[in-house]
Amino acid sequence: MIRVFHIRNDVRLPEQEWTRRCRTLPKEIQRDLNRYRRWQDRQAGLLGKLLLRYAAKKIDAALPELSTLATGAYRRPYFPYRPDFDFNISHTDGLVVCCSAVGMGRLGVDVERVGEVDLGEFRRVFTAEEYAQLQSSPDQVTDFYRLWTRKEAVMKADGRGFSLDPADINCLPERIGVDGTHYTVRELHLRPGYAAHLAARTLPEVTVHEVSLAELH
Amino acid sequence: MSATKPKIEAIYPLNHLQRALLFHHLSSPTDDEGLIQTRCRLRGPLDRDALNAAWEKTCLRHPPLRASVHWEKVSRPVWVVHPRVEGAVEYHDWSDRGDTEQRRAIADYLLEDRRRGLTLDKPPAARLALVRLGPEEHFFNWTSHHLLLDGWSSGVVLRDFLAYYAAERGDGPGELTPIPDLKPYLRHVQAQDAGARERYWRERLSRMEKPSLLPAAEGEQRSLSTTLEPDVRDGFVAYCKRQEATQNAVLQGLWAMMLGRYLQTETVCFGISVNGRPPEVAGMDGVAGMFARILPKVVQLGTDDLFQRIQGQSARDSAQQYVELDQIAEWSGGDGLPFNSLLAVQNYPWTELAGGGLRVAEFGGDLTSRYPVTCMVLPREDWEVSLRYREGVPEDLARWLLNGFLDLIRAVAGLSDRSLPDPEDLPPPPLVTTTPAAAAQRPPYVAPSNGTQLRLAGLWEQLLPVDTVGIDDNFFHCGGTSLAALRLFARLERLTGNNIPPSSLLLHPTIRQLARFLDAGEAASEWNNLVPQRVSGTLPPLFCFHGGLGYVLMYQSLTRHLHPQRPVYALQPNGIDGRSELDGSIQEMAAHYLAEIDKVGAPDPLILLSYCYSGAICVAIGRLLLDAGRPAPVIIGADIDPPGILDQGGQKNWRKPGSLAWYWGHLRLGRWTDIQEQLAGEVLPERVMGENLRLRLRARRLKDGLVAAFRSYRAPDYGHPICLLRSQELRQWPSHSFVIETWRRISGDQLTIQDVPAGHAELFQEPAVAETARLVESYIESRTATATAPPARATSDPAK
Repeated sequence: MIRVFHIRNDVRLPEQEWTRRCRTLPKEIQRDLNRYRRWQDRQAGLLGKLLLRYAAKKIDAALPELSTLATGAYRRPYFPYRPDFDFNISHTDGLVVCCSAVGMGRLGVDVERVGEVDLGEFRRVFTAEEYAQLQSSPDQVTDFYRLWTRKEAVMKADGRGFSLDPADINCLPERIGVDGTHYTVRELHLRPGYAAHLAARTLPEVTVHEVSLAELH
Repeated sequence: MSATKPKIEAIYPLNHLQRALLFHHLSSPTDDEGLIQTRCRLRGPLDRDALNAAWEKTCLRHPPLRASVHWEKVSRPVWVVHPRVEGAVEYHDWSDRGDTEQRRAIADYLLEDRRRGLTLDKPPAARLALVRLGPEEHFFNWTSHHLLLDGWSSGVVLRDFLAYYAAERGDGPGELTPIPDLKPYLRHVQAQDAGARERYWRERLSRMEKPSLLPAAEGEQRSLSTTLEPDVRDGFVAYCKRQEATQNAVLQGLWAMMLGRYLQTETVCFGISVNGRPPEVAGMDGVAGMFARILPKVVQLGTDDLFQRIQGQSARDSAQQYVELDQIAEWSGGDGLPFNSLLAVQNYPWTELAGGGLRVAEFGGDLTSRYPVTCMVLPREDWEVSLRYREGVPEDLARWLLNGFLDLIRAVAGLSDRSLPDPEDLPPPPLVTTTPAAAAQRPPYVAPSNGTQLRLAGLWEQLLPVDTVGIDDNFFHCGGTSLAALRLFARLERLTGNNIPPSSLLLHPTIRQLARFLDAGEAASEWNNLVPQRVSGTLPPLFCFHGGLGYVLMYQSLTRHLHPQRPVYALQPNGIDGRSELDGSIQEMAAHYLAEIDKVGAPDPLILLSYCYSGAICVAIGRLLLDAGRPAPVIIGADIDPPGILDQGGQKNWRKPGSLAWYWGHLRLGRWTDIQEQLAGEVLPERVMGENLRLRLRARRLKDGLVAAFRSYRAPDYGHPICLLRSQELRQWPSHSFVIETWRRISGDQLTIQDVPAGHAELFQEPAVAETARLVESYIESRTATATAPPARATSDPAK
């Protein structure tokens, strides 16, 4: 089973609350958060880690601490001592989402707030077929975000992320192939105005829950 | 370009600070922080015609008042002096309003004037307003730009203006003492020894254990301000006399104490603003222009003669003052400037400005500072001490800094001897949400300094949800997302025609890095083997050679653990860029690399570090050096494969992953997945990313070439010391004794073996890399201390 938790990130935490929450994280993570210039990004980073810890506890109380989190090849974070557990975090303006599972292989999730888009700027990102389809779409903006989150979720599940050329991956079919591995993708309806997708080798059961800050004790 | 129009008096390039100011002018025209409003009240009867004529003469006297700035269609931004400018004085009459109303109107005028901004590319880049407030009271405002005039100039210009006014009124000589043009100043600056300057600042900066960075962030400017009590002021002046130090030196010492207390360090650094007019050039004090500069002030706390030392140091600093801040950033060896606070003491000598029956009152000016924290002292009648800080700086920290600084001033003012105040007596600094070290992650602002950087900064500011970006800001730390990255490259392609993979932003996430990458792409034919890991430092550099797959990125973590003053360069083979050809033999590689190394100008003996099979290259370089009559290099090799190892029958079938023979065997068997995973582990992961899928083919081609070169290499006659760093795995290899024996023979029985408690692939990875680095440093120390003839060079470590 894959669990998806998401939380809103549209209100700035009071200074004390931020400090209190940060102190529950390992020093290195706190330091990384402070590299971000905007509170929205710092807070998204914090919420992502809190969601991860929350999800890990739900799955298995014995899951490792955040302090053992390592960064693998292609900068993908993972728990080296629990190779069976995988997770993936994504955030966009106002929303943070985290998916996790045990024994499901690598997962990928991507969420984007639907906004304006100049399709021409993204020509190189899509295959010719995808681009043609987007151009002829009656709702280009929605379809763009839908297709893009689909693609980014697959790239994240593959693990190489942006080192892959997005235009090499045809995301139109049901099962999406990357270098011989196939991924299944599911659209997530998290909130109105957002597009999101989840990708994994197989997607048997997926649960989606919105979480409040109070639950992330 | 307007610079080709006739009737131009002079053209000057903008310096670093001026370019930074230009950039801000362009990026926020309605809130230009470089705008200076010099304002005052003129008391006494005023003759408007005389005033206009006096201003015209003042403009003729000072070229910056007749200047415009140009940045388009020129290779470097310049300022241009015009022979004459047309500029009328705006005139308003508010004398029918009450005092409160007048003050409000003045405040509104200043705000609106600031919002209007200045047009820099049309002369005059200035605006003048005169407001009649009463029969003998006028408000005068002169809006200019810091890019052309510094704070000192405000006083110079007003003084000359009033002198001309007096002359117009028949109350003084019509001609003022001539002032020098810029030529003697420029000659003086150019005559300075750049090498000595670099050595001087590198040495100063090397005294710091860590950068003096306050927790800082972006945001609007805020300010706290206090006026000193008159008795404190008098007591402070008396204390400075007893200390036989200038007020400047004492104020700097006290600010240093505040930083030291907060940062818990003995050596601190902050910026000071200096007037920049060389005393060696006669008459410079009377010249208006932009000469001011920011200098780093490095202060070592902790001794009784603190203020005298600061004063003595100031003279030496100012002898080497013609330095740009980007050089300081580079020489400090860190990621940017080693300080982010500024202390500005504006002790200009213009307390009494008067002429022609007019007297200046309520003289005010502006100070331009982009630093997160700026402490300002205005030692005029009432001493004003204020602290400007960015919104992102916690207010309680700003308060603590200002109050603590004032407490120290009060403390010394109350003393009757020469003793120093103890900053530990101050209340403890506020707990900032993050520790100072954690908060200091945001790099200090550095402005773009070339066309590519400027173009990128423009795109970043369009795409990122932050107000300003410096060239050392990380794209992803400024709210950059993957979609923003895709847009960035689409716009870059539209702008320049360059088609660059968005993944290159992961490798080069700052403007400085990306600009370097983009610019280097244009000169692709000149592939450089040398990859600088850290260019600054006072110790002799270490040269690291590529491992089995040609990559050198594993040396980045090593660099972090080596002595902070040790420059590190890595060498990667030709062919790794997929364009140039791999050298055919080990000897060719050695000759090629040695030529590159010599470009750095490192002192002999050279220090070489190798991994896996590149030990053979180091020995080949050693041979070349000896043949050229130079001393043998210091050679250190981590699990280095000796020549001939591939011919070890039967043994190549079992080798540990990551060793050359292992790759070789797996390549022959076509077990690419294993190799790829091994590669990912061996190379710093994030650096693999940009290489994309081409990596595979390229790596394989490169690999085949390297193996062929290695295979045909025979052990040379060398006979000089070699240090082998041995992993735990090497000892278990069947070829272990062959490895040891061969290296012992090549070194003429001068092989030092150091064991690293880690596997072969982990030698340069955390955490084992710390021990590897320690062993490297200690071997270098033992060798360079006993080397046959280490020439005493300025770049060698003075501590040895």
